[in-house]
Amino acid sequence: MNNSPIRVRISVTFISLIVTFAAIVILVNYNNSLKNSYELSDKIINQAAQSIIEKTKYYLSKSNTSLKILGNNNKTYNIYDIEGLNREVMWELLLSEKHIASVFLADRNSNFFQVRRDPKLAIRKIENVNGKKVDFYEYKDKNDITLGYKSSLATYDPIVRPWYLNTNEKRIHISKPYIFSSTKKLGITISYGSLDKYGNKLAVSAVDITLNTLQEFIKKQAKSIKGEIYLFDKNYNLITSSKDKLNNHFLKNETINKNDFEYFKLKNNYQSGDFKGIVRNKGDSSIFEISSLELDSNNKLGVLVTIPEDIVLGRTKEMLLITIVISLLFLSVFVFLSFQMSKMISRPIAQFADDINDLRNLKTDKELTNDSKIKEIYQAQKSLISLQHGIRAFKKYMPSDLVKILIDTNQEAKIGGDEKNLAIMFTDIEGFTTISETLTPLELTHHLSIYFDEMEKVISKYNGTIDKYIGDAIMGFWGAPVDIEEPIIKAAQCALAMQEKLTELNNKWKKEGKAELKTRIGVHFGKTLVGNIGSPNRMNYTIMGDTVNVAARLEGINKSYGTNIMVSEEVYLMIKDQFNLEYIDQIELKGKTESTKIYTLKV
Amino acid sequence: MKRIIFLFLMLSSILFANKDLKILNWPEYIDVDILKEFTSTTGISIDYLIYNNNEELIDQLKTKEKFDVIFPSSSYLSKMIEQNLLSTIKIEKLKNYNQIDTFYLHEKFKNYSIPYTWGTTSIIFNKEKITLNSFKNLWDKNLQNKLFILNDMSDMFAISLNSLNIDINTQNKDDIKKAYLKLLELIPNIKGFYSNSEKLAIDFINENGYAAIVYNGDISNIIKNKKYQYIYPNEGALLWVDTIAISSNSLNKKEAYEFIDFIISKDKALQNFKEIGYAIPNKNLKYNSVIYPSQKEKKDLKRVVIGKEEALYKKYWKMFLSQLSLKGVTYE
Repeated sequence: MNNSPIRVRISVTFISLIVTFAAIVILVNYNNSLKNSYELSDKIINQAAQSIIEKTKYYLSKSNTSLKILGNNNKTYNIYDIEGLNREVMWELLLSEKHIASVFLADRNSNFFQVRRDPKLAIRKIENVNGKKVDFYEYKDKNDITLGYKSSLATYDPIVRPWYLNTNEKRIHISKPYIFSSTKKLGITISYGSLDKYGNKLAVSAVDITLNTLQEFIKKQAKSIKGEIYLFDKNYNLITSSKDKLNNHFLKNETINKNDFEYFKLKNNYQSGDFKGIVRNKGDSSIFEISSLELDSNNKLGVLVTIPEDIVLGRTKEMLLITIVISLLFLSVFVFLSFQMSKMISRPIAQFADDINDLRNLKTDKELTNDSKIKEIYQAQKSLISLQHGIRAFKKYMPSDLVKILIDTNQEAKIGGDEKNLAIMFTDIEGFTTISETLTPLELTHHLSIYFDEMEKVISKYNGTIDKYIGDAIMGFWGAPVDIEEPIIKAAQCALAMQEKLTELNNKWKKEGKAELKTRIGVHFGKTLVGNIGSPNRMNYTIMGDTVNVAARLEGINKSYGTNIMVSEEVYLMIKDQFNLEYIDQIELKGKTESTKIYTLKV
Repeated sequence: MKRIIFLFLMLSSILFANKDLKILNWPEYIDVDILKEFTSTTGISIDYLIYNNNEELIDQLKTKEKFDVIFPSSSYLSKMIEQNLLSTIKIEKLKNYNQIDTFYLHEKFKNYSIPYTWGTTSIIFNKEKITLNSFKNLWDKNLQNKLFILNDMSDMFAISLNSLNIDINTQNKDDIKKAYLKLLELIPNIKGFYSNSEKLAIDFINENGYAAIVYNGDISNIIKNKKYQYIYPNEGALLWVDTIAISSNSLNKKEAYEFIDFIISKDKALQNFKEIGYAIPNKNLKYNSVIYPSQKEKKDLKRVVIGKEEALYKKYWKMFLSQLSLKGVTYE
């Protein structure tokens, strides 16, 4: 199982929560503003389309009305029978509508009557004069003052012109856009036919409308919505658009293929109502709407408004960016806070883990903290302190190395032992019975505890293991449970150190008037059985065998030779080069068949 | 191919442009049907421009544009001949010339022009309010703010000089100054001041003027009302003649002669007379007493001619106009 510090865990948990939350907020927000954007662009497009329709209506309405008036006149009268009346309608229309280039009438006898704006304001008549058609211009200023005339034989025959030929029905007819020869401006001709009761064409009234102003308006609208606008007739012929390029097409007299417009492919016939949608091309998606404008029962104009999706979504993306930036800002604050928080929570836990680890290593001297604000941790710390105290006490009854081994190897203590080469030491206080009689039991315990404490420290220092205290005696060994290098040298050094320490203690006690203690030490070395001995429920880690007895005997012999530290020949042979040893005797030791040499160890 | 078409267009435009007969005339000074009929009959195209006074005509003739037929006032003929703006007229090229009554045109101009219309500048007055016999009566006190006059420098100076008993065509500087001072004395009487004689006539009626200086061609309707009378004063009315001439830089002289011959014919003269209301010096036309004076009155008619002191006249005229404007007289 992978494990990682609590701090990391907590941080990761917090951050993932926050990130998830932020992501959800951003997503919801994005979705909402996306929806709003589409709705808004829908509205914008619709408004643009409506304004174009209104403008176009306005653009054409007066012309249409005038055309119908003229058409009605034509039904009853010849063009020049009511010249004054017709002229008034035409003149008024031309002067009031800047986009009208010319208003004109033609009858089937090729008579032509025109009020025109360009290149000069003029009234033009083509009529029969003495059997010939004369084309006559009367140039005017805005106040109807005559500036001049032009008279020539007519070369222009209105009744062969497309606007005349194409106007068969009693309906409004709209030409394709073309370049007016008089002004070189792009325009359309709207015409209206007057028929007699047999349906024969009597006359046609027509208006030339330049598209400049309408295009300017359309361009302005398109610019304001950052899209494009196209105006087209019922046959999908483009009338004008916000794109200059398209008008350049017109100037080159090219027609626009409706298939150029994806929009039209989506719907074969826009006439059955408004239509909107999205056209998605590679890297060029647009939202569009097609609206229609009814001119009369048979003639409609279409307005196509498109806005690049990028523009529509631009605001949303902008909003998204802002949301993300704000979210990231909050996120980083939260991350910082969660680090702080996890640190706050994890620190006592980590400390606790450290403390437990120390305890496991039987380092029980450390002062444990118990200051957590978190109840559970506080309780745990409290328990740990109790445990530390317990272990510290327990350590006194057990060889700590042994406990450590048990902990380290993660094993339970079992009955059983090994034969190992060990150095074994026995110590005993000389004349202890006499001393004990001179002291109260409390004083005796106190005095002894100081003695044992100091001796134990020395043994520990030299890596010795104290097996047990027997009365005033200490039984210890080197080489188990932990293997150490040169256990006998350690044991020897320890024996000297113990004597030295005791001398020091005695000096102190002497000054204090307390009883001085003399210790006799026996050291032996040999194969010894070491292990857990006892019952499965209560066992001791201890040593057994002859070597133990030899060590005990050596200690006792000191009494006979007046020495402090007695060692066996085995010991002597191993340390003679390093220590000051003196041969004492060759004796037979109890439990041993052969006699052995004994030596005393000196400083 | 494109180049050939272009060249063709260039050529044809030059050719056709040259073929257009270019005419300069006063406003409403021809029956436009005559223009159409001329084109129909001859196939000649006409380009016809309008000017409002002789100065404008002279200016037009000095531009790069070349005109053919023009209609200068006789008073400006000397000046225009001097400036070499006119071609001589070869009357033998005009079949209808014999129908013209040339009485109205000074002998010295007959090689350069043909009389087109003529008329008199004189006084019309409301008989119920006042009676006038002479131009001198215009200064009468009872005309205060009741007089309407024309923006016609030569005629007004002629009237002023006439009232001072000085030759109306004097080129004497002192005399001209006297005439100017005399004109200033007329200001208290002046109610309206007009360039357009027709408009003057209308306002004169509407604003209950007592007297007005008018061209006789513009009052045929007014004098139908017996209240008003147009007189040839004792000292003689002022005669003016507008003429037909051919510009010295005309490129279409043949067509110009054709056009002139066309409009001076009896039929067209009558047609024109009916439309424009000014007397046309065609021997075949019947006269009426307002438009056509009696033989005695005819003899008394005085001609105004623009002379060498034109600039001085103009200077005083301007000074007069500024004085007049100080009074706040309507200028139309």
